[in-house]
Amino acid sequence: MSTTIPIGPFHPVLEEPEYITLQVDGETVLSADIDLGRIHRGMELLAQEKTFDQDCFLVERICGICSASHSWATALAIEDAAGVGPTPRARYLRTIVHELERLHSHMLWVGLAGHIIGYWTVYMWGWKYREPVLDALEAITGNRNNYAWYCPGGVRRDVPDELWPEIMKQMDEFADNTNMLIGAVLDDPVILGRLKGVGILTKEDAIAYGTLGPTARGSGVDIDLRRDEPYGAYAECDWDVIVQPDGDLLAVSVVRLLEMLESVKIIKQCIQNLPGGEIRNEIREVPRGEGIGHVEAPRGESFHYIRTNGTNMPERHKMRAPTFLNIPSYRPRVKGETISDATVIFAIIDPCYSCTERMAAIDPTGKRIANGHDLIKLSHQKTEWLKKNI
Amino acid sequence: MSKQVIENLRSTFGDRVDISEHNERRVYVTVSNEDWIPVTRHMYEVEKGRLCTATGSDRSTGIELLYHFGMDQHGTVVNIRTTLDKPFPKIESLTKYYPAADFIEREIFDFLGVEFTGHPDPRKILSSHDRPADFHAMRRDE
Amino acid sequence: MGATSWGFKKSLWVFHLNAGACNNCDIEVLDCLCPKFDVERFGIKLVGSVKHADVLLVSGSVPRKVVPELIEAYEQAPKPCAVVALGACGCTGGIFKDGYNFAGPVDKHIPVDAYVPGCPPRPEAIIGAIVKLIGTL
Repeated sequence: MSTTIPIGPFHPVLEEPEYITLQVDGETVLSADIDLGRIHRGMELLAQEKTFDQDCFLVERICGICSASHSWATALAIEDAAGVGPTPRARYLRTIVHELERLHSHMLWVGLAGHIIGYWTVYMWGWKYREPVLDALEAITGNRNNYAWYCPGGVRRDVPDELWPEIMKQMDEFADNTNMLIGAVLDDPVILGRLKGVGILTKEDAIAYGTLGPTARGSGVDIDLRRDEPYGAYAECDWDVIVQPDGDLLAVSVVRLLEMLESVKIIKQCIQNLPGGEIRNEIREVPRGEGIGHVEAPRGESFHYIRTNGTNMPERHKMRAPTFLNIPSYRPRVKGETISDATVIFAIIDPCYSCTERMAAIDPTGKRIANGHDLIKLSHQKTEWLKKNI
Repeated sequence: MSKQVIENLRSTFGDRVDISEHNERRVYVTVSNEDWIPVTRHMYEVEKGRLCTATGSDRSTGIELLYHFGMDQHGTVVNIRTTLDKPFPKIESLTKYYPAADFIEREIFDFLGVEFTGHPDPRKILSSHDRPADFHAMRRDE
Repeated sequence: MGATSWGFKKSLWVFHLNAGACNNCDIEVLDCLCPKFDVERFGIKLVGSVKHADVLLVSGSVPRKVVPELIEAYEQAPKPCAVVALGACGCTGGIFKDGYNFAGPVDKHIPVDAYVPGCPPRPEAIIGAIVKLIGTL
């Protein structure tokens, strides 16, 4: 007999089903239904009342962890419509900030995944190692997140040369810390027990669902916009796309861990080869037409389409964050798995933190059986059991 | 880089596709409602395009649908466009051929009221549940 | 000083609620717990259930779908409960206040005791707000 289990978050138990509702038969998940809309603020309509410069700042707030990506993709879309590109120096500077963002986003995910499977030390270390990256971002752009720095034609503020030696040093330390974490994760039989062979997404499903970023690359889908449609300085740097074939949670985790090391390589090369010159090409006029900008955000492709009508405001601005296409892949991943793995399987697509908050399980009468807090507890219990039995 | 894709479209569909190249990385293809599914299926099944997303807009000509196909192997984006008549825009859903279209089409239904026939789960996706069923935030009808 | 005030001054249990936020504020709240800021040394602890909360930290501009959840969370929190509205969104709706789906800000639905502006507010500002709040309780 099947029951519906609500995955509740750090969130009060409510009468209506929340973000994700699981249908369960005993311990096994049969299916998952996903309800979105709690962060829907009407940005596409708001964008129509902003100038192009303001639009780049607005879209940073689509998701706080990939604000640079949305801002850069919007700038690229406007540049595509206008037929004007950024300056060489701006291309390199933009790449540095984008990769710094990838570092702090992936390390944040490492911490959250650690928390969900009950490894609080991983959580604390991951977030501790993130801090120097946020300091670097603040030194370059003026803020830890929401940089207000990308603009059509380039970037808003230049970076003084005195900052680079310290940032290079932080990058080396970050790489050392990441290598330490990689060793710790891959050596630990309990973590392997939680991740290996769990939540498999086949390559065929990954392509059919249109999944993006590490979620797709962990299933053997070899796509990465930084290589496929190079923007910024990626074509001028020596780095590798990380792809793993197995499609389980471990494969996606390895992709993210190794990508951090690639990002450090890219940042160091960009700093070493940073060209001089202007930081912004002024765009005087954006003719009537349309433009598309897309970048490889930490979670996958961020896609922006803008239609212009000759004024300084977009007539239509379509925004699509990568998690929107990664979320449906949760359903084939979680089907047939146990409820104690439900939260870590969802966390593997690296949704925004507030998305992980919103899971709920509901029984056939409509009552909540467990909330996200309960499901995370179940996950911790599984880890404890594995520790005793491996 | 998108030359091969353009040639394939022309040889398969002839003058049923109206192709405009904005630059070497951005191509816009306009088709009729009847050719919508054949062309979008071609982009996915034959050209191995990836549906990045779709833009719906309420324009003076009707409801414009623009499906954006990322051609990762060529580093380009090929966009397929059609216009649906108001007040009840309707077209066949791509979801049964390409599951990635699921959430994307639900969002267009939510904001523009486009009926995607054959969609497995035609519910609104982002709007608050207490809005009226016929509330579509991006429609400009009076 | 009454028993409740004394209890409050010993340690504060904080429940964080995302009412439609982009995550920046939420991440900065979690940052407060982490080794660099380590708010737990002040006895401030993040709890997993609103029923244990002394303080409700609310981020987000409150889109329409979230309103009943916000009110229910406040009603379920044991009183007295202090509410802190985080970030530009929490305080006034920020850049989203003209949005068609805007149903906030937070103090339209529940009483707010402290406002922490910023987009996002720094962890130091969040900790500072909670410390000031302790002083007024």
